[in-house]
This record gives sequence, structure tokens and C-alpha cells, in this order.
Amino acid sequence: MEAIAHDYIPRNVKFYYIYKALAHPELNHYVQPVTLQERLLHIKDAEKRISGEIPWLCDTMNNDAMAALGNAPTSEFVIDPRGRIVRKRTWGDPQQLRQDLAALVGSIKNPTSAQDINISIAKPEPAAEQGVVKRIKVPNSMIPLISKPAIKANNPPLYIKLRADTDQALFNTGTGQMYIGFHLDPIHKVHWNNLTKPLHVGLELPPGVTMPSALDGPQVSTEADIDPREFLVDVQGWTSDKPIRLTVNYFACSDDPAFCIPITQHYTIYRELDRRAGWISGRVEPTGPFQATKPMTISGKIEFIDLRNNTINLIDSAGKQHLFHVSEYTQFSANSNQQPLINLTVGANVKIDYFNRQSGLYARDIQSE
Amino acid sequence: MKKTNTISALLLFVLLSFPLVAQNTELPPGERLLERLDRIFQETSPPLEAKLPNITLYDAAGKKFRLRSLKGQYTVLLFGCLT
Repeated sequence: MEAIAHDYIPRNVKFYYIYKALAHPELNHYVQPVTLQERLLHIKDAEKRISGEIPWLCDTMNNDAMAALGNAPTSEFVIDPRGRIVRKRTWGDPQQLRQDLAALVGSIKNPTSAQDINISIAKPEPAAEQGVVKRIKVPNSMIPLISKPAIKANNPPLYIKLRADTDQALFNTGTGQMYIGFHLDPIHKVHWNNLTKPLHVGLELPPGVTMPSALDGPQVSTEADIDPREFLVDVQGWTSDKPIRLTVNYFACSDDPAFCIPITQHYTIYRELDRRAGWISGRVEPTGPFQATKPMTISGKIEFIDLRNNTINLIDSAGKQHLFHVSEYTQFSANSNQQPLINLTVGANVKIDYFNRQSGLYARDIQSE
Repeated sequence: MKKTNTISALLLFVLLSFPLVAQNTELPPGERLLERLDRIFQETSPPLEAKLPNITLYDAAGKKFRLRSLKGQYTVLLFGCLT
């Protein structure tokens, strides 16, 4: 891509990378940023590591551009001078892109090759030793949950990020195993201080839920390290949509500039699939549909379909409107025949089985009469 | 060495952004996920000849940037991230 940009920038073609949510958190210790400022720090890091000519744009924290442009992690678009999309593909393809630009703008006599341009790759420098605390083994197929940190304007950065996953049994029935991992964010260049008390977690549980109400990180003999602090806990009875609240206390330390400060962070964990969490490399993709709670049913007429935002509007018999989120896990059938969701039409009379979650109504099964 | 680094840099950006589930032999065939992503992309991305969506992003300095301001020349957009 950089080689193509090198050839076509002088021909008045603009190039932009659009930075969006991480596809594979934990690679090189990177974790999902939770604020725009943190995502902009990722871009600064990317600029440093891939020292090319192409500037970066930053998607919104809701990933609006990615959602509006097809939800693929490395999609590619060519826009013409009228501002219209003239080429699009799910996966960036440098060879094909070069052919496109040759057809649209003109071919290059001696095209630059990837070897011709001096792109260096700088590995992120760890803030302290790694491989000190053994990673825990988690069940292969885990479902990432939505976890929201409490963010206040004048608070210190979120030096560590929580990742909460469940196995499919816990997600579907309320009883099973939950992974709770605290990962130091390399963007903030801090490490654990093992000379102080280990990380401590307090959990506030919804009624009926049984799991440890406190967790403590390991005592580590090495003075400092950057390994995640992880827990795999048994959970029983998390059948409601009520979230788990979590408070974590730890010391965040840096050598340059030198500081070591006690930090308290608060998180709320919802029993709800986080579609933007990214997949940890090597883990199995969980299969849906995800039945966290018993679905409810409603009948009515489809008034509006917005596949770009993955929502549909339904009017019930009393004239009340309901907005549903749909996804690749939403099943659709017409006259008892399974169909792609794209075949759903405005005006269709349907019955929808749905989940009522904190963040809205999620259609699980749509049956058209 | 330089060649290796260059190739690594490109692979880092493009290839590592793909879901890597296919690396595990216990997994369902990798094609399944890729095909699904492709289908979703075809179903939900704007059709050819459509205008760019009216969305405001940010430039690397955090300044607002309207996608629809990309007019007057050919422009290539590529989604990506550090991992």
C-alpha cells in the first residue's frame, strides 16, 4: 500500500488509513482503547512503527465509519473526484488496487515495489519484564462481554484495561466460567510494582449470583513486570440482565517519568456480547445465537429497515414503535423457510423473538407470515 | 534484513488485521468466518456510485474530519489498526 501511495501521491491521489477498533487485542500487548485520546495515541504509535507516507484518520469510538462502510476489518475503497465510491472490496488487495488506479488515473512506468521503500518496523518497547506471571489457560471458545469503565474527566488514565469473557455455558444458562483479565495498556508505558500489595478486585454481585466477591493478584518475586493479572472463576445463577460491578485497586508505576501511584478503577460488566472486543488469536470463534436470557416475543409490521446500522423498526398492533438491533446471529424465516436477513422487506407482518438488554432490544428470530 | 522488515511491516498492517481463528485446527473452517464477513460487507456497505456516508471522523491530531470532504481527486481509504 505504501509503495502504491508513493507512486500515486504525486499523481494527486490521496490515501488514508482509517483506524478502528483492534481486531486482535493482546497482540504485542495492545488492548482496546476506551477513549478517543487513547485511540489517537494508538495512531501516534502506528505512525512511529509504520513510518510511511499515508496519513491516518481515526474512526469515532462508536466505529461509525466502519459500521457505515460494511464492518470489515481491512476493507478498501476508492473514491472518485465526485466523492462517490467507485471501487470497494472486503479485504485490502494491493495488486488489485494498483490495477484500479492504473485504469482510473493512469499506469506507472516503473512501479515502486515494497522492497524499494524504506519501511521499518519498530517493536513496542516493554515497560518492564514479561513472561514472569504465567498466563492462565482459558476454555477455547470464550464470549467477550461488554464492560464499561467509569471515566471521569480529571481521573488518571485507565492504565489497565479489563477484559471479561464467559464460556458459552455461562452466557447461555447463567452458570459456567468467567475470565477476568487486567491488561496493562502499553500506550501508557507503566508496569506493575510487585514490592507493593498485589492487585485487588472487589465484586458487587446481582442478587442470586454466586462467585468470589474478591480476587487478589499473585505475589510476584520479580520487582516489576507487565504480564496480565488473570482469573478464571466459577459463576452460578447469573440469569438476569443485571450487571456485575467491579472495583480494582493497584499501583501503576513508570520509570520514565518516574512515578508510582495507587489507582482505583470501576467497571460494570454486562452479560452481553461485545461485538467490538476483537478476537484473541488462537481462540475459537463462539457460535451463536447467544441466549443469555429467555427471549420475549412481539408481533407487528416492519416499518423500516436500516441494514447499515443493523436496526429494524416494528409497529405493533397498538401502533407503538419498537427498534430492534439485528446481526449475523439473527435468524430469519419466511413461511417456515430459513432465509438471509437481507430478504426481510418493509411492510412484512412478522413475529420477533428478542432479548431485552441494557443497550436495547436484540432480535434473535424473525418469522415472516 | 531490510527486505524482511519491509515485508513484515506490510504483513503486520494488512494480514494481522484478519481474524486468525483458522490457525487452530480445532476450529470450524476459517472460510466460514471470512465468508460471513464478506457477506456482511456486501450487504451493508454502500453500493458503487454511492456517496460516502455523512460521517465525521478525526484526523491524527484529533481535529474533526468530514468523510464527504474527500472530493476533487481520487482517494483511497483502507481500514486498519495496530493488531
